[in-house]
Amino acid sequence: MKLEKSLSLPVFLSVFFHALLLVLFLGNWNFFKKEEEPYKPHYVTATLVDLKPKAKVQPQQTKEQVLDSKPYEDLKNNKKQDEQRRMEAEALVQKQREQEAKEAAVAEEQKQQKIKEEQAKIAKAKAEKEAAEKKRKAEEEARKAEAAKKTKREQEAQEEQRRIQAAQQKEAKHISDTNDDANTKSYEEMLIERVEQNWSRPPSARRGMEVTLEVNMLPTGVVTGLRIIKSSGDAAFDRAAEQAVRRVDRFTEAMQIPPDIFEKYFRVFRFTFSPEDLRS
Amino acid sequence: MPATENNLSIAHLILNASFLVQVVMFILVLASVISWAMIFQRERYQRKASGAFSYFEKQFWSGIDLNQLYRQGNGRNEMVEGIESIFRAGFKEFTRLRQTAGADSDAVMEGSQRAMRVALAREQEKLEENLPFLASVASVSPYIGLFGTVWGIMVSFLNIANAGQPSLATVAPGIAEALIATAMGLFAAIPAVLAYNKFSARAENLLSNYQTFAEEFSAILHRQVHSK
Repeated sequence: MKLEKSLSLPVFLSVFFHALLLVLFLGNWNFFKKEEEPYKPHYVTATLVDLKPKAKVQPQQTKEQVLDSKPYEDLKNNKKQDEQRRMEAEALVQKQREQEAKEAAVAEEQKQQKIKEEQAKIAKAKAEKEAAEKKRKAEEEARKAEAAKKTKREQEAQEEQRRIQAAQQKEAKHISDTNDDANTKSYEEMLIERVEQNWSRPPSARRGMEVTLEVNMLPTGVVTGLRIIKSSGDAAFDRAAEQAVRRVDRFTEAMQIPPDIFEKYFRVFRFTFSPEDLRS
Repeated sequence: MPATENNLSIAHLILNASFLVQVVMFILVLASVISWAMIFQRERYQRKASGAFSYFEKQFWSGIDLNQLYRQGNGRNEMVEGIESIFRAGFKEFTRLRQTAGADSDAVMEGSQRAMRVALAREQEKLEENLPFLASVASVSPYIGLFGTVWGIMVSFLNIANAGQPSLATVAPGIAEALIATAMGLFAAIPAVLAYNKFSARAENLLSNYQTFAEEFSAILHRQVHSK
């Protein structure tokens, strides 16, 4: 029996096999890649130092003040000032609201008046039209007059629409101002991200450690004060957290924050560092 | 992000590798291609040989007249290979020696056995053809790949030293490029090792089958010589 010994088919098979692999590897490398890994949770969590005299927040704050009142002396002063400022801001907001309401009422009145006028005009136009019909001679003239009126009416309608739009914008702005909570959250995330970028976790970090820092900030984003409120018990970890904030030096993002929100939430700001991604 | 990923694709790395690393990669790809060609060829050859062996053995033990079996092979003009060639060599020598006058039975047996041994050695050579190449690819290509990697890493470290500002972004591409050489070496070596082990075991198995057959056949011839 003759046994096949030719090399042509094996060589062809081998070259084909390698070409296939080459195409797979080079042409479609992404095919082998895994899906993007899900975003890891933030290492740093920040809590807002909300100075609003809310019923929920109040007891906690007093507790803290009782716990270590001395280091809070200057903070208290700060708080008082802040409260005053905030009260003023609130009064301003209320005033604004009232004014807006007034304006809205006036606008409504004007609108109704306009409508009345319009109706009157329409009636008048109709009468005129009838008269023109009767006359027939001045038909063309009447038409011209009507056209002119039409354009006038259109203009009026446009004006009215514009007014309505302006009112809507005002309202939207008002809404965004009143629930600035969401905005505050996004600003907070920006700050957290900045700190996170500069944070290098020490090897001694363990799960469950938590250090809370209080940061005093100017509206320009410059950090003026930095204190450890609650130590994690590990000096290296505390230092790493402090370093992270110090390395940021200036939160340029703070410039984007509107002044009233800044005063309310970000003049005194707290970061809590916890290595949540650690296993051991 | 996708832009940088495209920039760091494997093709890009290979094309930008230093000349020596490219040569190493080329050698390894060539070795892989050749060894795969040999793997396919060996696979076909050995499968056919073992098929032929079981077919012939069935025929041999079916009680067929040995002369007729020999003539069957004559009928086919092709070169006879595998187990049949051993049978034919032994039987041919046996009939020839018996036809010559004055040959004693021991000489006849010895002659036919020698003829079968020669045929067996030839078959062994055929079965184990190309296996040394697979063995050397299996043992050497990791070293060649490692050489390429070491060279590539050396070059990339020199580049870092010259650049003065080492960062991960400057180090990583060079090392990735160098590591491709090792990957290719392993890629060539692993199939070669597996194939070498498989084919040498199968060749050994077939050879022992041939040997057993040769012994059985010579026992039959021996009976024929001494029965007269």
